[in-house]
Amino acid sequence: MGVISTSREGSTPDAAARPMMPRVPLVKTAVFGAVVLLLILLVVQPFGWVLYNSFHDDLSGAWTLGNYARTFQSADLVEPLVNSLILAVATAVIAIGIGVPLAWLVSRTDMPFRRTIRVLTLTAFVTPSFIGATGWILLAAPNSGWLNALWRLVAGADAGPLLNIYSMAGAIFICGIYTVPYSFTMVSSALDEMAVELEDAAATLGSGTLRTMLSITIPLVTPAVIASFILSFIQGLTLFGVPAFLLTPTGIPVVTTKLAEFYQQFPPEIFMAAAYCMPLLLVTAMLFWMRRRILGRKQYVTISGKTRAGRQIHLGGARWPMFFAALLMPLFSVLLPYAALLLVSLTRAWGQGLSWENLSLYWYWWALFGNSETLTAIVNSLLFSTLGATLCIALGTVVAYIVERRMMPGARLLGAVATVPIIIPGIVLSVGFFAAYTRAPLNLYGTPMLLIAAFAATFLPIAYAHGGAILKGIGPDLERAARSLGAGEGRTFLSITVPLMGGGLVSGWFLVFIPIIRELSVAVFLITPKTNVMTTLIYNAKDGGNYEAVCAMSVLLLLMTLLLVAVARPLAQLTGARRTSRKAAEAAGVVPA
Amino acid sequence: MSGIRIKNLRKSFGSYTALHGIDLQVPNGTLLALLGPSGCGKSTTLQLLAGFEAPTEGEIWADDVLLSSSRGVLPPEKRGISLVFQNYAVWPHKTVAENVAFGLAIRRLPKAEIAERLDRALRTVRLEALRDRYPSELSGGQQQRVALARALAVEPRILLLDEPLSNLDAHLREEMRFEIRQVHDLLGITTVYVTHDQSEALVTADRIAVMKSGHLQQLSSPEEIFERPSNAFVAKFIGANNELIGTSEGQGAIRVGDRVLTAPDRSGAERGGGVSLCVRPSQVRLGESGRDADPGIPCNVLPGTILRSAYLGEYRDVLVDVGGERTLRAFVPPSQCYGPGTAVTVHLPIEACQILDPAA
Amino acid sequence: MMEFSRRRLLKTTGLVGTALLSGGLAGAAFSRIAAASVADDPLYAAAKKEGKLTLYWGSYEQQTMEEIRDAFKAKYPGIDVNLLRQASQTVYTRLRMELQNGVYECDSLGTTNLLHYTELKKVGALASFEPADAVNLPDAFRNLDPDMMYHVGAISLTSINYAPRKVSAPPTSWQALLEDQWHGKITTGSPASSGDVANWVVAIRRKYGDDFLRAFGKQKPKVGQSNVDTVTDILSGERVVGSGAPFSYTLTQKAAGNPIDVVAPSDDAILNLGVTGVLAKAPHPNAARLFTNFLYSKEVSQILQKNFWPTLRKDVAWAEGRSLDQLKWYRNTGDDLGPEVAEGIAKWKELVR
Repeated sequence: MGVISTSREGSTPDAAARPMMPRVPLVKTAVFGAVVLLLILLVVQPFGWVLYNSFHDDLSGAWTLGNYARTFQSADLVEPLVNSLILAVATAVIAIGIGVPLAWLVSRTDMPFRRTIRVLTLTAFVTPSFIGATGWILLAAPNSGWLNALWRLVAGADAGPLLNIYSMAGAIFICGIYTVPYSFTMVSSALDEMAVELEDAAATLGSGTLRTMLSITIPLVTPAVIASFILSFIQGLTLFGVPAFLLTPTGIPVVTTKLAEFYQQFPPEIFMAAAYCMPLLLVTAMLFWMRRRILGRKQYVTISGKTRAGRQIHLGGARWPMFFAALLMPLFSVLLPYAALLLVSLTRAWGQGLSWENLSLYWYWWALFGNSETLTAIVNSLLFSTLGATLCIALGTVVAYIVERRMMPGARLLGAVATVPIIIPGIVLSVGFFAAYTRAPLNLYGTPMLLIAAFAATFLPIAYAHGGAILKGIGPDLERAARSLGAGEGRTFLSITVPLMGGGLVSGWFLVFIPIIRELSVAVFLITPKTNVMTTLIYNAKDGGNYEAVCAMSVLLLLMTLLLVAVARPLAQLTGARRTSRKAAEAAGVVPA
Repeated sequence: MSGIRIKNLRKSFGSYTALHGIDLQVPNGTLLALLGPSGCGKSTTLQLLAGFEAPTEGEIWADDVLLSSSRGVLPPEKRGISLVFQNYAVWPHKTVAENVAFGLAIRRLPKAEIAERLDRALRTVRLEALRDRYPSELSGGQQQRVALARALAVEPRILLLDEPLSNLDAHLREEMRFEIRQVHDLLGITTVYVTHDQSEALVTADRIAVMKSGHLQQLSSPEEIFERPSNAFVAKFIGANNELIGTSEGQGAIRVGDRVLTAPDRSGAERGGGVSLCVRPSQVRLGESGRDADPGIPCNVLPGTILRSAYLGEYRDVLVDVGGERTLRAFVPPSQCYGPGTAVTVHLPIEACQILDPAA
Repeated sequence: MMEFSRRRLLKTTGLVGTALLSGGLAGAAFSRIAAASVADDPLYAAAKKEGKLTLYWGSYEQQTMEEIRDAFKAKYPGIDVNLLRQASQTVYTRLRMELQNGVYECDSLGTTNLLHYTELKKVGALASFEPADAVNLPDAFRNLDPDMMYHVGAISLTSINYAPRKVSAPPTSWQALLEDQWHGKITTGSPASSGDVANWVVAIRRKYGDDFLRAFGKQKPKVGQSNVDTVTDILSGERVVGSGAPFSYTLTQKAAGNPIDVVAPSDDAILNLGVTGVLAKAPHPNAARLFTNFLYSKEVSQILQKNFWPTLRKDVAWAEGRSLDQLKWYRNTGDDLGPEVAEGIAKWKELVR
């Protein structure tokens, strides 16, 4: 009690109030200081370089607004912006349209094989979209695609192609299905955390299952839905592999393929590329502003300490039809493309077609032992992703906490800073990281820390958004209770907030880990011979036209990520298992079965 | 004087002012109920007391310690104030015992002392048997007790209760009321109890502060509040009340429609100013038209017509039309049975009537 | 000591100026004549003292490059080689950023674009050095730079490839690609993504003007990114003829058993030179020089032969007995190709897609 100031009554308020001010914040100030410093080093600095570059001329290096003038005046540059917006909106619509119902089916209903669907959807998440696109080229290229070949068997040899993956529709389809895992994961973890009483309340009012889902359940997870819409939209804007593979052949330029041209031409127009990203920033900022408008007026605190295990909704006769509908997503995003990739990876020379003589495990042998790079790259990928995801989720969660609980003035600015990186396409970000992390005070060039820091910074927005979504679901009273019992802010955060976030933090970790392991563009200028990762290696093989190797390494990347997920998930669940022991509660007769 | 002292406490959120300068004293060892409808500022006052909000103006003292002023706020964890939340805020990831022992562990007490105080707290709220349960395995009332035990275990100087019974069903609520009072009598902790339920306040509190729209209306004992409300709002909020709105005809007289009624006057209004005549339904007597029901007591007498009558076992709740679109409620003995439309004489004993400032 | 000699090296542009270097050259010459063991080579001794070598290479695909690296390590033990193999333009962009940031990691740069080197030479980022064994290069490719700042590191040919199972009579010239029968059947790379295709566009415009591009566009070719994509499209069966196709890589795929073959067009295969240079501020300058000279060794040319690349020595034939003399080829020459490339890409975008 000695900390409490003991000024006597009658002393001036000034004198009375002063002693109690500077007492607490020592640790708090240190933590906030560290967070601000990390954000400056990891995000503000690289982004600052991108911004700085955008105002310079590539040839002369002089200050100029010319890059911006060109961005908005040259039809050659406006067209890709429009195409990118179309792609992004459509991607987001698909991601929400499929991801949200799928999340509901898996989290809330008695659909059969829910766990399988969950795992398979996660598997789609693990897939770098350029690998998915490669698989789909094998399946749905207009002349050679296997699905089209099947179609011709049915419709006759002269029939036109059933599917043409080289089209805007094809690109939207691929971007969409490989973005669904974002909305699926975010929404399903929000549904998992939601108090079931709210749904029960609607059910007792005579609301049907579908009606309850549409009018109660989904609106209650609106923050997660909107967050995943924005993430999916940004994915659609910033993905490079899919449009490069699918849209370039039809001559539809998008921002990322245009950016790649800036880098590939001679002389490279790096500064021009930086300016060309800024419209994306503007569009995304508008989205965030709209989100504030939508969410601002409502309160979305759904947990207030009465967490119970979610009750399943009985689908009745719709159980199996729903299962088959839910299976379509993994079918399109995992089973079909990986079947294609697997078949190619198992041929000695894939142009020979499928035959027993041509079957071989050679490329797996080659990928693992026949070259010196893959094993190192596998270790690097796993190591960097693990460390990067951990750093990212720790920083993102703390920032989200500071912002959500408004713990310091300007907290919202911190949030804005933490949101910036994901909007900048990877290749441009890579240049920013290069500029920022190769000089004092953060000279990391050539070290693994360079990639870890860049990966953590790139996906900080996901960690931050996810952390915010979870925190919105945790009533502040649970923390205030701890404060009033004598726990300081740090102690409260660690012993109340973090355990309550528990399962959400784990899913958040995967939400960051997986994009890191499949990230390509950001790594481009940052890898060194000793710090090569799987994606850059696979892209190199693709660049070299070594298709069998691309396929074999893709399958290896998938297996290795799944293995890690398989090991990590049960470990993570151990921690969250105890608090929702509904079975025990039923046995004790406390809650109605 | 020791205890909680709140001086000229003001709190604004942007352009909205939640508290307009409140002054309150809570002597040590008393239980104060903060009573008022939602939006009256009682919860804001509690948040300020607990240290979760900083006042815009004014000071909060506990004994001789300044807890809050516009210049600084002692953080919640340093105040020695425990808070029990409306939604219990029992941590779902900790067992009953872990919840209750949390505050003790924070204080780094010796293990033996923690165990002892944990047992005592659980015993106080009769939860010994459930100590290893998780909150998801408890009923609402049990969770409420966990929250109470958790708050008490740390032996706070001050206990704050924020609508602690509002999530319970009626039966449990009645039981818990007495339990809270009992615990208070046992431990004597200075307590502030926020509620919108007047009967909760009457049962538990030593003193009641009635609030409305960020202003303190009255701070008195329960008896005083009930019998001598400071204005028609307080009269209406505590217990059932009839209010006849009129104008002052000078000290002790009120004009209602074309009648002048007399009563003890605590309004302080000038002649012609707006005042209300307040009288409890239990004090209203009815007689058959043309006959004095209860001679001997000076009464204001009005003619009326029965609108409806409800039988409630111990009494009848009768609504009487007294003309000019005014109605009065009367609780009369069950034996007095009038059908709707019956003409009656309404007697308002002068000593049971009060002329007060109007509620609006 | 190191720092001292490096600074001195920087001052000696255009000349072989240091005792160390002339010693190296003499050593190399000596080894050629007397076939003495490499252990006596003073350049190797100096390189070994540096102990490390960092290569930024975009020429040759990963596998060939790794074989060259491994052969180098085998021949010159004690030098740890870091190979960064990425697309030429990526490697170059990264190098430029490193130079701007004052980071000096790269010893030897090898890319497929001559313009990189004229630019680097302009800013003084290259060191002069005459690799003794370069005398074995075909005469046409010797002394690429009179100041010896950069040298030939690879030879690549752009040609026509096709699916022999589906095409009995492939087009044998660029002009033949414009015949009706190839409408909707052609695959090609994009000059915006592929240096080889850009080089091809420049050559074809010089030969036939924009009319060719206009007619080519009407053939509705499928435009991928890299010219390697032509191989992919032919193997998958998506298209049957590839224009601007990689000669060596197609032959590699053929040798691996894939149904694909290549034609050297009668109106000239387009030849593009991969170039290499030692960086002026290379942290391991002697190792870089040693590696550059090694490129013209028999070992490397044999590796190239095995991987269907044109060799870098007159005395090592190409795979399957091919040689430069057997085919008609054309190389874009000129001091300032930059604007011509940009114009070619712009015309391509206007006329082809």
